[in-house]
Amino acid sequence: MTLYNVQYQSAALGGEGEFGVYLPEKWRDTETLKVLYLLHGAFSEYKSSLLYSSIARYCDTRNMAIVAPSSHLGVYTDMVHGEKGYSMAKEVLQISARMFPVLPADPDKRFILGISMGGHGTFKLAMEYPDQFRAVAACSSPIDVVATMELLETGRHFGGGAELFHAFHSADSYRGTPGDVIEMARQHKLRGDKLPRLFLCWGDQDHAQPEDLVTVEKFKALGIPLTTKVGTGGHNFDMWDPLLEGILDWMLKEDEADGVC
Amino acid sequence: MAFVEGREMFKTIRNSSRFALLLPEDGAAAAEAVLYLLPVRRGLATDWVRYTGIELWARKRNIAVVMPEGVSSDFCNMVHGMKWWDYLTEELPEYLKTVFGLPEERCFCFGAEMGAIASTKLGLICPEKFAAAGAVGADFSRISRYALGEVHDHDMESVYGELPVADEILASGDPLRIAAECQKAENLLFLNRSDAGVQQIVQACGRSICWCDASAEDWEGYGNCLKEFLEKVIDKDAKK
Repeated sequence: MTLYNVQYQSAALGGEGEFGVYLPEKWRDTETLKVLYLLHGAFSEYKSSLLYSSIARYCDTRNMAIVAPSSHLGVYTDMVHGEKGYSMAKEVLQISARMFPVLPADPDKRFILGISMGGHGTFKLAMEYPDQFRAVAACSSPIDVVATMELLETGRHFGGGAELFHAFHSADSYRGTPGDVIEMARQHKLRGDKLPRLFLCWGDQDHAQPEDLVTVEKFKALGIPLTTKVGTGGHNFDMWDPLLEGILDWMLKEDEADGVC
Repeated sequence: MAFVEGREMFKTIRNSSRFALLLPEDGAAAAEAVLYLLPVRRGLATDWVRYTGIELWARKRNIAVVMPEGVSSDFCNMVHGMKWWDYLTEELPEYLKTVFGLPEERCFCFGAEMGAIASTKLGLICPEKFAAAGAVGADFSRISRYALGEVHDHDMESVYGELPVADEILASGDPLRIAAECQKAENLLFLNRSDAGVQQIVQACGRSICWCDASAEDWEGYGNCLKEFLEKVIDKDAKK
């Protein structure tokens, strides 16, 4: 596989932006080439997922390129106090397509996977651009950040701190915005819009488990299919890595039947 | 401007090689021109960006810049080594066109030291591909002198073979020989008066030359010459 590091002038960040692009070995087979947008977790950068997991190898065997933006705070929101992380993520989608025209534009060949907070960005992009991706997946992610902020505001969150307030400010201020994934999903359901296939996993000792279980119930109540999987372990790559191949294969499945993966 | 660094496996060199690109943020297809910047011997893909102002100069002109590495190959199809000329002229451009959409129109090349020899050869041998070729810090007589046994080093033996050097090797590798045999093209050569053997190149190719005024003994000089090439050649070409 070929790894490119791209540094560019980011209008969103008002400075240098960075993303990585992996091309699989068989990239010339453009009929089967797919692209996975890989969103890292909070306080990380694009190489983390690549270094701590074997996602690059898993993608290589599936002729899947990877585009991985770097956002060190990585909360995939235009922060109230801080960087415009969501605008940056959208910017990388556009710039990577312009700079690497070999990457497929067909939505049927485009996927997103987010680790931890990257999963919030994943579902947010899926809700804002539902016709641009075939399937999206989140690992141990606060999909419903409005609910996360409610927990934080009432002292019931597992441990997130000031940085989440800097990013999202409050549950009330985030509610109804494109980041209110549940509300966006509800509106899509009302309109009868087609959404990408949706996947969420967490570990059986994962601090994200309680929030993810609530998210599952909310999607169930909306009547929107959400495939789930419970891994073994906590909030780390030891738990995520063994699940990644199965997640990629689920994303590539042709049939629409969903549920537990 | 985006700075892209990557390493890819190439069949011609049977190995991976690193290269760097400067691309307009609207993608390579939006570039006004393409400039291949060729390295010094064992130079790195990042040398031109680190030691000159090329990123600022490229941004001002909206040109794409390709900066390959070439180890100590002289960008030749080596006698004891890999096919670096084929890499530079066929496999790398095809790869860049396919992956990045790099256009093939309005291409220029410029090189320093080892890269200067290669750039001059590109200008002489591939006039249909390069509107102009610039060279600085070259020793154009080096390969002829090697063939005569006047100079020797291990790298040259790997590239050109042991003495006596085969005629077909000289025909494709010696810029003086190539200049004498490629007189018909009308693309521009941009040369530095202080480079060894440069007058022999001029006499051999029989065409008018655009001269670089800057001295060129180190990276500061290479950068100054590159800037002149951009101003005297690429900017002038853009106004046509």
